[in-house]
Amino acid sequence: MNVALFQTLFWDGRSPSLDHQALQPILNPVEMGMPDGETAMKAIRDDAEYQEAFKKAYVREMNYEDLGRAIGAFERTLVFLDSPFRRFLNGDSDAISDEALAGFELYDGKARCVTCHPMNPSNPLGSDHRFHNVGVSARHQDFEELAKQATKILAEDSSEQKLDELAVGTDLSELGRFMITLNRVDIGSFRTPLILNIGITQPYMHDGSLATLWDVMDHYNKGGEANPFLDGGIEPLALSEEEIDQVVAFLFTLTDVRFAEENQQQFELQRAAAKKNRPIRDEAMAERSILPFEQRVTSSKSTDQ
Amino acid sequence: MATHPSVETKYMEERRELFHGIRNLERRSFLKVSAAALGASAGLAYPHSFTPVSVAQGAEDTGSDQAFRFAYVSDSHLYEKDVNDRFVRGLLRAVDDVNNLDPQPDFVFYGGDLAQLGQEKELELGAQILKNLKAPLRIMVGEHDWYLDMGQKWQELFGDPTYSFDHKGVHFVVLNSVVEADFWTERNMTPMERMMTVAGLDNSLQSPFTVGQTQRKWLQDDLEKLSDDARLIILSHSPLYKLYKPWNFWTDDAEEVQAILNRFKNVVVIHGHTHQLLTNRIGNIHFHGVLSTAWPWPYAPEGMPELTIEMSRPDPFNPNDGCGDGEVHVHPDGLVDKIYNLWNRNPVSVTAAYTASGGSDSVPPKPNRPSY
Amino acid sequence: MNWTLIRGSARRAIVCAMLLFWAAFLAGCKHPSETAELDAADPQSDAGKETVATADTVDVKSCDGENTVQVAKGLTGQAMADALMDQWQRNHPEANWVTEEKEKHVFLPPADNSALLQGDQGKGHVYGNFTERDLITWAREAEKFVAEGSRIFHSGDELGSQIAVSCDMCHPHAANTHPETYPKYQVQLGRVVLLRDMINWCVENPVRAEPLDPNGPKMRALEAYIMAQRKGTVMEYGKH
Ligand code: HEC
Ligand code: HEC
Repeated sequence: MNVALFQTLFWDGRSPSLDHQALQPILNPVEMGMPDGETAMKAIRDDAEYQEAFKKAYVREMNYEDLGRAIGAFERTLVFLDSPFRRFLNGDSDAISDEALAGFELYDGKARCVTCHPMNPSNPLGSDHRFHNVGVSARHQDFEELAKQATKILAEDSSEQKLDELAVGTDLSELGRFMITLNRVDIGSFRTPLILNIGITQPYMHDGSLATLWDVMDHYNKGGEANPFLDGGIEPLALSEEEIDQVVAFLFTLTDVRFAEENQQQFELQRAAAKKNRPIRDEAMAERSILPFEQRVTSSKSTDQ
Repeated sequence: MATHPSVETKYMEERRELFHGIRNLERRSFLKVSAAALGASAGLAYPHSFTPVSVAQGAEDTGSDQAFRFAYVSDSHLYEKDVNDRFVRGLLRAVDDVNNLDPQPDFVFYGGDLAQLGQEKELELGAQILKNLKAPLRIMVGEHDWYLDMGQKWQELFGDPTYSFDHKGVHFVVLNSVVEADFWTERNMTPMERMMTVAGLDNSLQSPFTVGQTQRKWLQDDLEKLSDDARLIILSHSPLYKLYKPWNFWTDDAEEVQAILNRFKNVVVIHGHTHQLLTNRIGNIHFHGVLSTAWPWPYAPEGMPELTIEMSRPDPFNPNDGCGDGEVHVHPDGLVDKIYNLWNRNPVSVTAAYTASGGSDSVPPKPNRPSY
Repeated sequence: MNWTLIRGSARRAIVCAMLLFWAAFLAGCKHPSETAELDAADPQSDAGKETVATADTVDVKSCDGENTVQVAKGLTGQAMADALMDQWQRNHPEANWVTEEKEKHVFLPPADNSALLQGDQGKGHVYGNFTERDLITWAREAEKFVAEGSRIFHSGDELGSQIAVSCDMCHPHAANTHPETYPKYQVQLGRVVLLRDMINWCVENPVRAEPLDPNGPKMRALEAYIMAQRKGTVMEYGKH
């Protein structure tokens, strides 16, 4: 039995300690600005205010582990990210464009993003740290079959053989968190990712299946990909093209200013790509003239007969 | 240009590696891994969270007079699609769910309130969608289907609302339990006003639900030929007992109906209308509610049956939360396991062992967000 | 009362009714439904038609300043007021909307303040000297406000729902709205909110309508109804 595998497993689904988990997001900015934890620490040590706070809390000079603990304690207050949107929140009203601001209002309202990707001072990372099936896996051809087998396994006492069948020769990862919990509700569900720096971390989703943020918006706008385990919170949104542009503009304000140039480049690349091709876009679904499940249900009979 | 994989992407990469690792393990180790994962999450999840939707125990089909299972879908409250897409989507999702059951249930029972305002187009749409069910359909009427044209269109589509049938040794009776005394003539209401009054759960102008004398007589006759230990399942829209009158979670002649069922060893009543997990037992009669595909209802502020383990208050962000469909597994003794297939939640089983023991065995998981 | 909610003519009519009602009220504090039918006093014409006075009647201009009704000579003020009220109500069936709303969607009555009538300190004073009339005024006005909220709560049209959904479909008698728990963090909104913010979230999402003006009459009435329904519940901000 591979111990390392075991550990990864625990880290994966339920990190043994929150503190440990809290160190992970910090790697995100670390990757970009700080080659390692030590550099990260240095950046913090230069900040008198943080230093004070750390001393108070831990009665010693800070170290990387303390940093992790502190972040766990503060619900991962992000110390490194300096994005236009954050500047805007801090009172610089010119930090983001009107278009992006309109996008934020949509993000907070009609587009319904904020519930899963919350953005507030206590939790500024844009993730609810929960697992949802937003229908990405369902776009893979074998997902339905895998899901069926998975439910079947749950239904049967002598599941060894079935587990075997499932374990061999299939792309299990599409079942998402289910493979860790064996919990029916977790089929096809993945953890809500942080969306900081999202502008420059393409391609998107766990399988990298979406090339641009316009594709991401098209995915949400049509109400995801219908499947029996789809999170019901994913509804068709009926966003107009203009509104989609606005949300995308907002998402591009979440990138650290140190990557402003890359961000701008990526924005233009993606926009150009989106102008050419929007493979996920489905207006009839977005406008609710065709409903999620409608095609599945009405075609199921005919394929059966 | 350089790409900067996000932490989550990295996380996913590691996950992928893990899965690759799993695939290459031999079976025993794999099971160990899964078991460990299971054990580790047991503290977080409900003890029953692994209850599958297709529980096989006691439900093998071994010929007539034996165990079997049927599915249910209920309370879809359809408007026309361009009036309200959400409720249509709910019913579609339920049909998709039930069609995915493997093996297929013996039949699908529809628990009433297919339409929201009893309009022809609503009922036709419902009938159209239900045609896509792979398993045969049995259907019951609800007050939302009835009070616009007093059941005309519904009966045209689905036939008599009161009927009985036998399936694998179980006698099923379907009642129209939403008969209301005339409150509309005196108030000079139009059919739509009457419908709107009945459609408001907290509208107190309407009369309480009844089964009524005619149907009680019919029921008496229908059951006459059955022996006292016959397996008997009654399907009604309203709960056949008195729970909370202000919302018509109520049947006004419940005692009279119960009296007819008294002589049987075991009776199971499955009812719609209440859109929630609901369990009750009065003597030999075991009552189970069903879920709605449209929206969940709060629990009544008083009069809750002791046996009921409430479902958690739903999160309205997910309009499907607290909604769903489910299954009924019929045991050889006629009692049932009632499976609530809550969408995006773990299914909850209210077993025969639970109701038969009066709530001491096989207790379903308790809600973490109880009503208050 | 939310004047802006009530369209022109109805609004005028209600002002009228209130004036008439006030007359009856001053005369004997009698509820209009208790007034006797006075055939002799029944005005012979509908408001709105011009009429000619005869020897036994006098013309009375109604309070809109335009219409005239005829009333028998020698009537007492009380009988006249009753009759006018009666007739007006027959012409304006919707004027009973508070009673009707209460009958349809039962809600809890406002608190009983009769204890305020006891004690001696207030006697003869300008301030703090409460009468039955004060209590009735308060109760009626409070109830009317709540009834208005109930009407909106129960109407997809009033809420502007694009999918014909009203609050009562999921919150019968305002169950599960928990106004006593605000302010609190709401996951749906990703921040700490007040009751009205959550109401507006439900307006936009389950009900699918344009959000209401947070200080507008509809929001105020909805809040009134929701809070009234939790009468007696302990305040507990932050409870989930
Ligand atoms: C029901 C919860 C939920 C809602 C609502 C939601 N998301 Fe997500 N989001 C997720 C989950 C879960 C994933 C990961 C899915 C996967 O990889 O399969 C995700 C992935 C993403 C990603 C890709 C991140 C990456 O690193 O690849 C972006 C961008 C995103 N969401 C933006 C949005 C926007 C914009 C909205 C509003 C239109 C939104 N999300 C609404 C849960 C949600
Ligand atoms: C389709 C169903 C649905 C409709 C329609 C609906 N709601 Fe809700 N609402 C819910 C659910 C479910 C909850 C969560 C209840 C809970 O937490 O107990 C909720 C929560 C609330 C809450 C917060 C309760 C709390 O515990 O904090 C308020 C206030 C509220 N709704 C008001 C309204 C109002 C006002 C309307 C009409 C404009 C409305 N709702 C329409 C389903 C609905």
